Amino acid sequence: MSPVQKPADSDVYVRAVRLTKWYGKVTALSDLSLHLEPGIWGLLGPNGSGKTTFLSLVAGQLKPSLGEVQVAGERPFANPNVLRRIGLCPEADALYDELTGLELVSALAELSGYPRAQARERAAQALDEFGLTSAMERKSGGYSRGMRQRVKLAQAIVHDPDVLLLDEPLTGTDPTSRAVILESVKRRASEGAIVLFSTHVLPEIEALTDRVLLIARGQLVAKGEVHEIRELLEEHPHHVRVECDRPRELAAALMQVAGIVGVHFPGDSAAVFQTRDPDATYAAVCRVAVEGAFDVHSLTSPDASLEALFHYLVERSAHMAGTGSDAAVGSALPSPFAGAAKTSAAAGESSAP
Amino acid sequence: MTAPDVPSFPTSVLAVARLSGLRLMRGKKLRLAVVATLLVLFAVVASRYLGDGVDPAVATREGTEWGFFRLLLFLVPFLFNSGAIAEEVEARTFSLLAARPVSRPAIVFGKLMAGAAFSLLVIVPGLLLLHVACFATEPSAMFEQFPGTLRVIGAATLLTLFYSTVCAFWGALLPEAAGIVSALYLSVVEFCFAWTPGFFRFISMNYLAQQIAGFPKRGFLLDSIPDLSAPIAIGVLVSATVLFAALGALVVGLSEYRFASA
Repeated sequence: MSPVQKPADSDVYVRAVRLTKWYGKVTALSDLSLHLEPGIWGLLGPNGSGKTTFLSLVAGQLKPSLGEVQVAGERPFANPNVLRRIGLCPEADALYDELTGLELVSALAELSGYPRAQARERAAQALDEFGLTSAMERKSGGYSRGMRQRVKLAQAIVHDPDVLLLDEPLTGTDPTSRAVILESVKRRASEGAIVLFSTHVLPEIEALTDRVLLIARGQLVAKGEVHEIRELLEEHPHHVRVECDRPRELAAALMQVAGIVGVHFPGDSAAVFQTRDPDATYAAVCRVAVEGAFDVHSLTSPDASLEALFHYLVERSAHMAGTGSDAAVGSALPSPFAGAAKTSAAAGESSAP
Repeated sequence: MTAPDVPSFPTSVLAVARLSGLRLMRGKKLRLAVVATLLVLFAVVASRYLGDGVDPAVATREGTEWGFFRLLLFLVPFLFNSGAIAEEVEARTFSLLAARPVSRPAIVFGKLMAGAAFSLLVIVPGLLLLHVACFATEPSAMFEQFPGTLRVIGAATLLTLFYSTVCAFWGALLPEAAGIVSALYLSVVEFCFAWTPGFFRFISMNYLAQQIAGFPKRGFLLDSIPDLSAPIAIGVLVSATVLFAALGALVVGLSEYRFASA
């Protein structure tokens, strides 16, 4: 693609005010308020947390049930004036399989307002940007998952959007493709676009940006920087479950290990340790098991993923809301995000429900 | 900001129609429609030439009435239009279109334009071929009877446009059941009501199209059916087409189609 120079003081922004969306009795997004300026924003959350719903609302494909969302001051739902500034790479692996990559992206570029010849030229450039030059004349039905993903990205950027909404864009891509995709995303952000990049894998975000939005159970539970999430992960006590023949004896031997802050016994043959240093705990379990001749059946960490952190944050924010402390002024965020909340509040919006 | 301006409504409609047309051209539906038409043509021509002293005008009229107005005119628009919106919604490709700066009505009309054009591309040459094939041995009669066939083609065109909008409308309203609902509507309201007595028959646009084409009345209690002039029948058919097209555009314009799940 030809370089796109957007002004540094681009007027584009995404603003959500008490944004709520439900499907029947299911609340997909609840009371979400935020304000996004140009740059890359990681949208982080477990599957089913409401990321796709949020992106669909910003992309103008869904109407809010309550509250509102604005892109550059206008509501996006079925609004061509806003949609011309938005590029969407949907999560669904859905392309027109009977068309070639070039035909597909050209047709969608035409729908974005380019004359036919220019649309074809831009489509070729966009596909080339994602390394699909040699495959662009083949029908997309024969593409691999990674190639299909790149076609979706090409159609999302073909009209140089100011707001780029990427829903799990790295799914099914190989490392080379990932590098190409991430490079393209960074370049667009540096040119003044807002890039919302949804994923449930923290390292994907870390490779791109240090600004993240954490969504869980339809709520924005945190808005801040990646290192703050890392700190939360370290602060958050991990659980290590050991199934063995004498769990209470094992627990007694392990309670002296630094980092272990608690233990409970869900049955006669298991012990669950709470620890702030999982690596040291794993090593200690192995050492004590050998020394004490314990018959260990399994050693697992049920909450080693971000999922546990999301639950932790949701529970913690709910608890803080219940105490009437920070929550009373709309900051139910965990402490590392308090600063971000204050910053956001100063900008005239609430960072968390 | 380098994104182009919002395309005009006609430009959007044409762009959607071109995209849909390209897809129809590559898909199996076109082949299926052509095969069905050829089978009907084969059957009519066979009955014309294998029967004893069959009048070519009668063969043409019967073939047109039964083969086209009571079969292909249901099948072909159904094939091209019932999935126009519904298949995109079900396959989740509709989000690719809905994310573009074109109005939802433009998407509907573009798809309708493509589906109706492909339907007519099959139906009209089919009717012409039937006429030529049935009168092949009587060239002078072929020319004499041609105005009548043109009238039939006009009626078939109006009915094709109507069925295209009906199928697209039901597909937009109930994408998960587009085929069955469209088929039910066509078979019950359009086919069955075309045989009913009295004013009920006017509910069927198929019957109105047959009157425009100049076919004789068939069915029960023929005396109870009031006469309807061709201009009025044309007016009703066109109005119904516009109504269903507008309803389709309204439905798509207001629908979210569950682009995301919780």
